[in-house]
Amino acid sequence: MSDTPNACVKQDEEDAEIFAEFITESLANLALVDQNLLLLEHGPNQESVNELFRGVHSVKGSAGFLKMDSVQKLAHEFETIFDHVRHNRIQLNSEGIDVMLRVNDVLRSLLETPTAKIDIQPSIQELKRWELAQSSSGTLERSECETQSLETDVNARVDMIINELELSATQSVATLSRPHNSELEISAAPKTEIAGHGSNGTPNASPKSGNAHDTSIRVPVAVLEELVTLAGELVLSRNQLLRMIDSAKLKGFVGIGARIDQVTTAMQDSIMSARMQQVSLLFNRFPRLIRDLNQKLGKRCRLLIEGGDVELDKTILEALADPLTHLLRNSLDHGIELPEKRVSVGKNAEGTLQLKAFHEGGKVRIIIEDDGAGVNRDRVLQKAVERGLVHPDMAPRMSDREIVNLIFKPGFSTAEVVSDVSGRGVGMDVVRTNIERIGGTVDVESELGKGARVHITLPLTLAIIPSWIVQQDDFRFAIPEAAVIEFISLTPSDLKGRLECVNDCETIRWRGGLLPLVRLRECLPGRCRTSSRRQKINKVVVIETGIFQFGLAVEQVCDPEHVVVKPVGEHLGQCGYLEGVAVLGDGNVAFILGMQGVAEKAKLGVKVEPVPDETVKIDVSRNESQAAVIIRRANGNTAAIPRMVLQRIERVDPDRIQKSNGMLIMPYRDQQLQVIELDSGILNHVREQHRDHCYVAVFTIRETEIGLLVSEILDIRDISTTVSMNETVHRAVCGTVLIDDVVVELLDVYAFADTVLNKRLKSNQLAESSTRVSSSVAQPDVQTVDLSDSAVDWSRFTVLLAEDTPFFRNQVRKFLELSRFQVLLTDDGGQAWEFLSNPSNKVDLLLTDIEMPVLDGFELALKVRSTPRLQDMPIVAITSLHTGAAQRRGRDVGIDDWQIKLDRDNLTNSIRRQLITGKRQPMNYVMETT
Amino acid sequence: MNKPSKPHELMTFEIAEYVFGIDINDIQEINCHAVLSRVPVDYDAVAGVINLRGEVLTVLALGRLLGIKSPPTSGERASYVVVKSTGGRVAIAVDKLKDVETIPAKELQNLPANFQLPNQHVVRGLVQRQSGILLVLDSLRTAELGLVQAV
Repeated sequence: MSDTPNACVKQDEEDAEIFAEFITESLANLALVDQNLLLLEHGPNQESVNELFRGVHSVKGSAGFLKMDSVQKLAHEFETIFDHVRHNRIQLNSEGIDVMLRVNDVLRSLLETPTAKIDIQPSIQELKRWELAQSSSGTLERSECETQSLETDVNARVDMIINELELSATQSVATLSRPHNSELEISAAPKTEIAGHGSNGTPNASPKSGNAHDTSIRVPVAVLEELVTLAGELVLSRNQLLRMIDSAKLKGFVGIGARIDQVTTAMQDSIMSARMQQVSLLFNRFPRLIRDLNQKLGKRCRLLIEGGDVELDKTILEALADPLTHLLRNSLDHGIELPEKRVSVGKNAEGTLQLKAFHEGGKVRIIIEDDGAGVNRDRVLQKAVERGLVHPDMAPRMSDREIVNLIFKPGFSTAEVVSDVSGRGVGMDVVRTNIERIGGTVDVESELGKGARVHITLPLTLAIIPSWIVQQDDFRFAIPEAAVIEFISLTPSDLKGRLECVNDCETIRWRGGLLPLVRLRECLPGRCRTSSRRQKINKVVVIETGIFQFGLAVEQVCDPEHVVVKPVGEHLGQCGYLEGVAVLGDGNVAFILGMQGVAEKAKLGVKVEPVPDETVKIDVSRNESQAAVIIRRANGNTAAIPRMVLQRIERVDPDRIQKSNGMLIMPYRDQQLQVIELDSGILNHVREQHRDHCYVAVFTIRETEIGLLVSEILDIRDISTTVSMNETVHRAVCGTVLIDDVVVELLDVYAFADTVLNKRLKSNQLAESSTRVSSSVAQPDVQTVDLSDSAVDWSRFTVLLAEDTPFFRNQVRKFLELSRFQVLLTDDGGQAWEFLSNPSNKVDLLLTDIEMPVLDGFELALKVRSTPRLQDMPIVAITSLHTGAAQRRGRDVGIDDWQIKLDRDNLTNSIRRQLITGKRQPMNYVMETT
Repeated sequence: MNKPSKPHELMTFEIAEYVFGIDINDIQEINCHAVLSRVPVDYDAVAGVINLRGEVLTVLALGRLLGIKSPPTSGERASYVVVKSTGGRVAIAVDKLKDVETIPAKELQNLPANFQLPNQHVVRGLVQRQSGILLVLDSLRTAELGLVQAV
C-alpha cells in the first residue's frame, strides 16, 4: 500500500509533522537541562539529577528513531555522565557544569539547525576528558584538594554564570518571537503548512521566513488560555446585558441582545474546540516508531490503533507523548519476544501491540496491550530487592499486582543489556511521573507468557464526554452516554402492565426481565424538590454501569450534548452522586450524575441482571411491545413500521433523490440506493411544499438495501405487538394496532418491497418460481441444488420455531407457511427444548432466535447437540446479532446456518438447503447435483 | 498575642450586621456579578455554585454556618469572595464588600471567652476599631467548613 505515490506523500507529511514536534519537544527538554544544571550549581539535589537524566534520555530516544545520528551520539555520551552522577560515581562540580552547559548548547544548535554540519567530536572529547579527570584520581581525595581552588574560583564562576543567565534571558525573549515549544497550531487546513515542509525535503522547525503560511498560524497556548478566560467574562457580561434589556423592557435592544448572545455562544464554542485535539495526532507517530524498533531489535510486531478520534485537551495530549512512547518502546523491547522464541512457544511469529483510547465513566482511558512474554514476577521482585527498592523482609508479603507495578519505581530496569532503546531504568519512572502530573493513573497487569496490559486513566478534567442532558425538579443533569442503554417513553396506560413491586423495590418490565426502577426525585434531598408529590413516571433512562443495571425515571430528556467536564468541588463531591459539573452551551450548569452513587442513594442492592421471573415472563410475552417508527401517510392515516426491520433512518434533502429509468435513486454511503414510495407522488408532494427534508427508512431485502420514502415521522415509540391481522387491506399493510386508542396500520415493508420489485423482475423476465439459488453460503464450491417449489414436497418437513418476539414469530411463520413448511411455534428456548426433548415429537429443523428469555439460542443449540437423537438435526439461527463473535460462538455450539433478521428469501433458501444437504436427510428427496 | 510583625492587610465585608476580614493574600478574586445556581444537594454549608469563567465554584453560605443569617432570599444580590483552599478554590457569599484595611499585627486580639458563634474556630481573632468590631477569618479553616473531616 505504500507503493502508491499518494501514500508516500502522506508518509512524508506525517514525518514532517513528527519531526517538527520532536524538535519543539526536545528543545523544551534541553531548556529543562539548563535550568537543572544551574540548580545543581547551588548544591547536590537528587531530583534535579533525575530530571537532567530523563530530559537527555528523551532527546536521545527520539533522535534515535528520527535517525539524527549526531544528536543521538552526543546525547548518549551526555546521558552516560548523568548516569554516573546519579549513582554517585562522579561528583558534579562547577567545572563539570560548565562543560555540561556547553554540550547542551551544542545539542541545542544541532536541533535548531538540523541541516547544518556541526562537529560533535570536540564536545564528546570534552565530556570524556572531564569524566576521566573525575574518576582517575579518587573522587574523595580529589574533591578535598579541589575545595580550596574551588573556593578561590567560586566568585569568578558565579559572575560568569550570572552573565550567562543574562544572556540566556535575552535569548529566550528573542525566541518568543519564533515558533517554540508551548504553541498550538490552529489551522483551517493543517496539511498545507506541513506539505510545505515536506516538499522542502529538510523540515525546519524554526522557519526564518514567515510568509509561507496562508491558511494556518501558530498561536501561543497562553493566548488561547487568555481567550478562554475572556470569553468566560464576555458570557457573564452578556447575561447581565440580557437581564437588563429584559427587565427594563428596552424593545429596541432586544435584537442586538439576541445577536450578542448568539455570537458569544458561538465564540465560546470555537475557542473551546480550538484546544481539543484528536489523540490520533499523537498515535500517528507510533507506527513509525514500532517499525524502526522492529528493525533495530530484530522483532516482528504490528501495532493496532483504536479510538484515534477520541479528543483530549491539548495539554493532556502533550503530556502523554513521552509516557506513551516509553510504554510502547518497553512493550516491544521487554514484552514481545523474538520471532523464533514466539514460534517455539506456539505463538504467532508476529507479535501484536494494541493501543486503544476510549471514554469510560467520564474518563479517558488508554490501554496498551501486548501479547508478549509478560512480566516475570520473580525476576521483578529479585531486581527490586537487589536495587534496594524493596526491603527483603517485605518481599514475601507483596501481592502480584504490587510486584508487577514495581516496574514504575525510579531506577528499576530488568533489561540485561543497556541498549539505546530502553533499559537504563528510566522509562517507567518517567511514565508514572508524567501521567500523575496531569492527574492520571497508570497500572499494569500481566500474565506470564501471555502478555501485559497497561491501563492509563486520564482525569475528568478537561475531557469532553458525550452526554444526555435530563431535567428533574428544575435541575439539569448530564448522564454520560456510555452509561445509557436506551430510553423508554411510557404513557400511564403502558405503566399498568409494566410496573411491578418486588421486595419493596419498584421494577419495570424490560426486555423480558425486571429492571429496578429509580425515581430521580427520590434521590434528591427534600429541600431540592419542586414538589412533595411522588414523581410521575414518563421517561425512563435504562442505565448500565459496571455492576448495576437500572431504569432511571426522569422528568424530561433534553438534548444530547458534548460537555466539558469540570471537577465538582470537595463540598459537593461528598454527596456521592455528583461526579462533576459541566457548563452547558447556554451558560447554565448541569450536574454530572455518577450512576454508582445514584444506585447507592436509591439503596439498590447489587443486581447484576434484571431478574428473570417465571411467573412474570408469561405476562411479558403477552404484553410485550416492540419499538416502531410512527409515520404519517399521504392519505392522512397513521402507520407504524417495526423499528427492528429498519437498518437506519436517514434525513435527506428531497433534491438528492433523483428519478432515473422509472426508479428513484439516492446516493447513500457512496452507493446508489433505490427508494420506493409507499404512496405514489410523495416525493413530488414534498417538493411542492418546498420542504427541506424528508426521511428515507433503509432496510434490506434479498441482500439489497432499499429505502422507503417517508414524508413525516411522528414518533419513535413502543407499540403493542397485539396485531389484528387483516388480509384484505392494502398490500403494504399487514394489520392494525392500537396506539393510545388510535388505529394505526402496521406496515409490512417486505411485502410492499416485494410487490414493487417483482414488477420490475417480471419485466426482466425473471420468474420467481424458477430461480436457481446457488448454495454459496454454506458450501461455496461445488453443488447447486434445485430448491424451487416444484422440485420438493416441502410440506413433509416440520420446522420448529423458537422466537420470543410475537411480531417476528408471526412474520417468520407467515414466510415459512408461504413456502409450505409445517411450522410449530414456541415462545422461547425453554419451550422449544421441552418440545424437542420429548422423543415422540418429530421435528426436521430447528429455527431459533438467539436472544431469548429462559434459554437462549446458544444454550438451546448446545442442549440439542448433546442429545444423540438430535445430533443431526439442522439448526438455523435467525437473529439480529451479526457480530463475527456471535456467529463463531454459534458455529461452536453446532448451529448450521446463521440468518440475519429478516430476509425472507435468504431464510427460506437457507432452510431448504439445510433440509436437503444437511446432516439429517429424509428418505425421499430430490436433489440435483451439477 | 502575636509578636510584632508585618501588619495585616484585610479585605473586609459584611454579612448581616457583622463585619469580617480576610487576609488579602488568601483571596484569589472578588466578584459581584456571578449568578448563583442551586445545587441538588442538601448541605447547610453550601449555598450553591457559581460559574466563574467556565470554572464552577462551590459557594459557602458563611452566614448560615456562623448562625448569623438565614439563607439569602431570592432577589438579594450577594457578592463572592473567592479564596484558595486545599482542594481548589471556594467562593464565600457575602452581603456587601467593603474596603481593604491595614491592621497593625498587635491589634489582633483573641476572642473573648463569652463570644459564642457556631463554627467560631474559623475566626482567628477580632480587631476593635472606632467603627466597630472586625472579625478576622482564617481562610483555610473557612474553606474547609462543611467538609466531613477525614479521619
